[in-house]
Amino acid sequence: MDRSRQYYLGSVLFGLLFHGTVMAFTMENTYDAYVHMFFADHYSNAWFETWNYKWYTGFTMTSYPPLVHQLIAILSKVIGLKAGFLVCGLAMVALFIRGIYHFSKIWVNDLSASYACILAVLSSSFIEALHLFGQLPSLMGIALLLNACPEIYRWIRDNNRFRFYTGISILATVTAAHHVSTIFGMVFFVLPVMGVAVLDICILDKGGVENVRFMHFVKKIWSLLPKAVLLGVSVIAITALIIFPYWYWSKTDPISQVSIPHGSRANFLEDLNLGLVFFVIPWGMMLFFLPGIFYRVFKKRNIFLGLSFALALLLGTGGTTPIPKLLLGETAFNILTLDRFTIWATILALPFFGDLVFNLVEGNFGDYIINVFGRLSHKIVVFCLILGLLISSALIINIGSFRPLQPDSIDPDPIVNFLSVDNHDDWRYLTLGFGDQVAWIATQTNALSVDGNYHSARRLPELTTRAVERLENSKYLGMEGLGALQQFLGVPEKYHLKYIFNNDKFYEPLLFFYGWTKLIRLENNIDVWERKDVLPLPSILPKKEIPKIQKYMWGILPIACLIICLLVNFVARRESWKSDTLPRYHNKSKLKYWTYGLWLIIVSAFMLLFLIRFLFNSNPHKNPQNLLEAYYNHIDFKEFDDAYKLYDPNQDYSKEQFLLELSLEDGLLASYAKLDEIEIEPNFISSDTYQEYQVTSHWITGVKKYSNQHNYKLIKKNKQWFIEKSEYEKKLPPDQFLRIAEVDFYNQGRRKATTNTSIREDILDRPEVITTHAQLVKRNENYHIVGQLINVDNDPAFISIDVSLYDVNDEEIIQYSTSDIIIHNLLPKESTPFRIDFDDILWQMNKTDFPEDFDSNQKTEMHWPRKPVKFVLNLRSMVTDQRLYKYYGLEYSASAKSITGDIINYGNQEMAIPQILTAQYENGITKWVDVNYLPKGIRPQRSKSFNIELEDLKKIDVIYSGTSIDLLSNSANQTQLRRVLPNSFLDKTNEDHKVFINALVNFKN
Amino acid sequence: MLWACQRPVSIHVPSLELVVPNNYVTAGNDIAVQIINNEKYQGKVHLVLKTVFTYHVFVFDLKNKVGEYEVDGKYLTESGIVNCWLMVDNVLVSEKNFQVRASDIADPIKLFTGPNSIWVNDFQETMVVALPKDKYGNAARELDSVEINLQMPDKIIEGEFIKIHDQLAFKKLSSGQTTGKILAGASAMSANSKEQKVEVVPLWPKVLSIEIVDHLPYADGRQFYQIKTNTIKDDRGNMIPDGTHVVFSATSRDRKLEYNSYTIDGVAKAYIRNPEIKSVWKILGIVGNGSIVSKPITIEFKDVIKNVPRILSNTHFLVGPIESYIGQYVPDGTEVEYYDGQKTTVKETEDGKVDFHLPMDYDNFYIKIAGHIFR
Repeated sequence: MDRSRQYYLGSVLFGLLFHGTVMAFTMENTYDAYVHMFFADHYSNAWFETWNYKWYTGFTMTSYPPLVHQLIAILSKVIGLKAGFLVCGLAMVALFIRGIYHFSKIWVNDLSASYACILAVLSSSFIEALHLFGQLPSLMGIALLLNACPEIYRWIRDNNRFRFYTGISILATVTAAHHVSTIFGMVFFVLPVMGVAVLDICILDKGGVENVRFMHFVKKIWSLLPKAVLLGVSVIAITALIIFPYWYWSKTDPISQVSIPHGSRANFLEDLNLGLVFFVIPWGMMLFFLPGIFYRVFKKRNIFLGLSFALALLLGTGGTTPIPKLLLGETAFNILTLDRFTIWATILALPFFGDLVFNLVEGNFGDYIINVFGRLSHKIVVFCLILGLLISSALIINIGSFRPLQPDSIDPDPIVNFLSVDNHDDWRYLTLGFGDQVAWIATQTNALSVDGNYHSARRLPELTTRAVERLENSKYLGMEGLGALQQFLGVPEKYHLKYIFNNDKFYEPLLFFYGWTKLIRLENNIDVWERKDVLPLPSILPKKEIPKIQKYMWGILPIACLIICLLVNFVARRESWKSDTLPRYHNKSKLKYWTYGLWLIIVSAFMLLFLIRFLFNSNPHKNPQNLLEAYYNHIDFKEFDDAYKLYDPNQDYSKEQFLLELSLEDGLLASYAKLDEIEIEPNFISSDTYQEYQVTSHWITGVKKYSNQHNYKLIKKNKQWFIEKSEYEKKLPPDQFLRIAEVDFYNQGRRKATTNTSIREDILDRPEVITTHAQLVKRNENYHIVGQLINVDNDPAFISIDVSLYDVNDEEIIQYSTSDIIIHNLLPKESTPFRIDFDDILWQMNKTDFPEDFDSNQKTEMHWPRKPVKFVLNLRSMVTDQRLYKYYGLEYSASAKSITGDIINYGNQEMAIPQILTAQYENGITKWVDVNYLPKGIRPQRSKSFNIELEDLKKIDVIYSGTSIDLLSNSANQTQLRRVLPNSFLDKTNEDHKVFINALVNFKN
Repeated sequence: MLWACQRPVSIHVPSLELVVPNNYVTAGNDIAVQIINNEKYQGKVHLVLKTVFTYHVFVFDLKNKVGEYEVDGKYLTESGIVNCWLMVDNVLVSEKNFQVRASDIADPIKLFTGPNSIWVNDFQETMVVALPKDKYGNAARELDSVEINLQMPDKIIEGEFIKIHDQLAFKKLSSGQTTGKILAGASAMSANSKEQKVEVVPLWPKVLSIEIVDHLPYADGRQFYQIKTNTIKDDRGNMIPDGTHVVFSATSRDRKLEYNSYTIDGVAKAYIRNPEIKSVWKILGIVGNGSIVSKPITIEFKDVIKNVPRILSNTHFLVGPIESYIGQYVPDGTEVEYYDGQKTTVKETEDGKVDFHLPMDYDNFYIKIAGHIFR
């Protein structure tokens, strides 16, 4: 066996060992692995069923080529989903290395091709795609495509008809695995291979590449045109046929999903972190060899590959230049993820990278270094190359250690158990803060979720009109992401959504103020939140059916392609063991080796500059700006030790004191917010060593965007800036020990231990709640419903409100519900104002894109299709046993424009997030209601101040005041109830405004 | 089915007459039917019984002039009209009907109440409804009786026999004047029902009064004083339920305060913080959104500041130790507002003291503590 074959087989073995071992550890932390397992799980349970109910109120499986998923499904019957994914991954690795070897042999000599195999195992782009992104189907596509290229080459060059069949069978399998690989692969891989095949025929005819002229080539192309047409038509036919249901779905049910941002489309020079992930890492060590690669790919024989390579490299740069967008067009640019082009570019370059390394190790390049610098220098260079490859591989595999890409692993069993008992899976659920583990949870349960992890297939307009990848990580997507989540939380009845599994404290205020109740904490520390009064899923759910023939096609053709491919290529192939005598026409590289040195210096200089800039920026004590940015960064990521180090070490301020002051108070900003940006402005600069700054920090919280201002005193000592500690509150509560009597409630639920539906005796009557008044008002071209309601019953009530707006023809325009501008849980005889806004859902009605700069706090003009002139409001109530905390008071004074005061907590629990609802009245009727949140919590026997701006009521127009016909209570008219309780409550008030308080309390006992 | 739809055809059919019971037949009881065979026809006849839900077909062999045939009661369990068709060779020769009535009321009697909670004002009603059935699931016989027994919150009411009309027996109840549970049960013959419950709940409170339990009459902005209501009852004397929301509201010039609380054993308590400025407050208790209000009471708070030493040193403006009414320091955290002639700064005292930077304008600076200005 010759050396090239030895290296090739050794690479396969090395690749299987290396990637197999690593994948066992990295698989569960990748972005996409669980999604592919989820798809496989579906096929495992229902092979021919194309509709999947589990995500997004249902989606079609024909939205993704099925072969890889079906293979995992088959394997999972024996070894389980995870092992099935692993085995498929190993098969892909072996195919990939084989593909690299045979593809490389088209362009370089056998030994160089074998070096390319070794480099392929440690290829940065391959490692990133497999162990970071988990992109098994696309890698399988490219692996198969690489194996198809030599077949096509031999078919054209040697006129070997059998090679056509082997090539087409592999291309068919590529389509079944990943259709994008076929479509783009034809351009980037197959076309250059066809070109070089034709060129090789010319070279054989003319006896050398230097004798081949353009016209020779054109004539040869013309004579081989039928072959090209045959190949093109065949590829189109198989691509259309094998995944016909995919095309059918794309045509008949086009989804208008707005573009979702992806880092690969960014300008890498502006965002260096994204440049690192999507450019520097995939190219890895190849960056140092780019001149040599460019030189080789643009040799006469390799020109087609060179053009393909250059195009792929350029497209992979994303938004760094405007060229990719011009070439792809706006739509394709915003839909495709451009990192695939970088991966393809690196793969196209691998043969030449292998050739360069071969030359370095044992070829001319190596000889040059030995001659000029000595043998030792040569060994050092080779050693550095190997070390660089290994270190870059190790760093990429362990990138999660530096910046976690996923939340900690979550045990799915408690969640699955919860959903399977007591008919909890009769409703939909949602997960928050699970990362990509949502897909793994979905494989373990039969319950349905409103969210999912494959946005191309979703149809809910609440999601398709927003650039939100998933609801479950909406906090990272700013107010747009949270706006999407708020809709689901505000109107869960629409989706039969009842349970939320929350793994992120950030969402707690949103859940609480939107009327959700924390039910229990599971054994895996996941909190279960429940929403009352949601109907279960109907027994028959809507489903998009496709013709039966398509279901059979989808279930049979992809696997059939694979079997035929295996048969044709391995079983029936008679020539498989004959050596392949491909002509190689390589010229000696005329590029002076010193250019490599120059390039190395340039790349090293860039990296050094980047490092220096990184170090410079990361030195927090360098200047006040760095200091304050670093401080807020540490606080945002809860790196309190690092935050403490930014304080003046000479002050009498211990770390324990610092941590104590941080931990004492809960609050929206302390525990439930994510820093969005900060603005730093100097307040007072007295000298070079003492300055005062005002920092305006903008935080994203679950309930609203929040801005906070804080003043800092900074001092400079020994050329380093530090923060001077600020005064902590000195007020002490008067009492050391408190005795507080409480009332608690308890709903038994089903009193008999049975799995049957609840008996009538266990169902409590709905509490009687009355809307004292409600109005349709208009403010800045937006319409709102405002009003007040009271719980007249003797039971505590959970309240939700549904309202429908009607136009002048009594036709319904829109229907919506309350969000957080209400107190959802009321004690007996307690009242609350409320306000219902329609902004968020109007986007779906208009089918317009969510504006990039939408800010719910700002005045935004909405386009109403028809003007609302009246409404019908229905209050729904249920008895609640949620623990309610009411031991607080208000002290305030009001002017015409604002209310200033304190909230005092006289009880024994901390009010973690106080909410202030301000109702403004005109003629005794509510005209406007506003909501505010205090940024900090209030501990027992303490207070926090607030200042609220009042709305100018002249800017608000009353369109319609609700009458007794319009105001329903539990779908019934309120008149009878009012007759039963005459004079018990007031419909109007004699005040101008009133303040109501609500609070999220984390009960300690 | 086809037999039932067929009309007599003009072929010779034997003259047979079917005789069925004239009176009601009780569900489940065996019956006997007679076939009068005047022509002494010999052969098989089919007797089809169509009940409410199904058909039964019996085959009899006629031999005599009058034949009596038994039909097992297990075919006659559904109450309602039973159509009988006598067929010979698929030809209808005689047609009769009889009625099946429900048998005796069986256990358990389904009992419902609604609404399950009513106000104690004798205005709102609730209803007890019994849906008795026999052992075959048939609704009980019309005009049979069901005895409905009630345990009211204040007394027992003897059972009342209610006749069954339209398959149910119902009784409307008023709440009476006492809160508590109404327990209902039904019985008939040897059958009984499960217990049902209706809650009679108190009305809205009518009389509300408040009192201050103890307070420190100094405006220190720190101590809390307790305020509580009377035992709140409705106008029937029933105590309002635990957890009823109560607000204590107070005003003093342009300041307002509202403190939330809820009742336990009819009494609501709150702890209200002393104001920071000498003032007189008028306090009310409120239940609901303003219709139930107590008489106001007045509470006065005196000045807490006794002495405010102020020293201008070379570097600082020292204020304090600020002395309070019994010679103690003012509480830590007392706000001192300082106007230096150009801008205002607010600091909190510690150990009664606070220091500021020197004034910018020595003629126009001042400090303000607890509403008092000191120059």
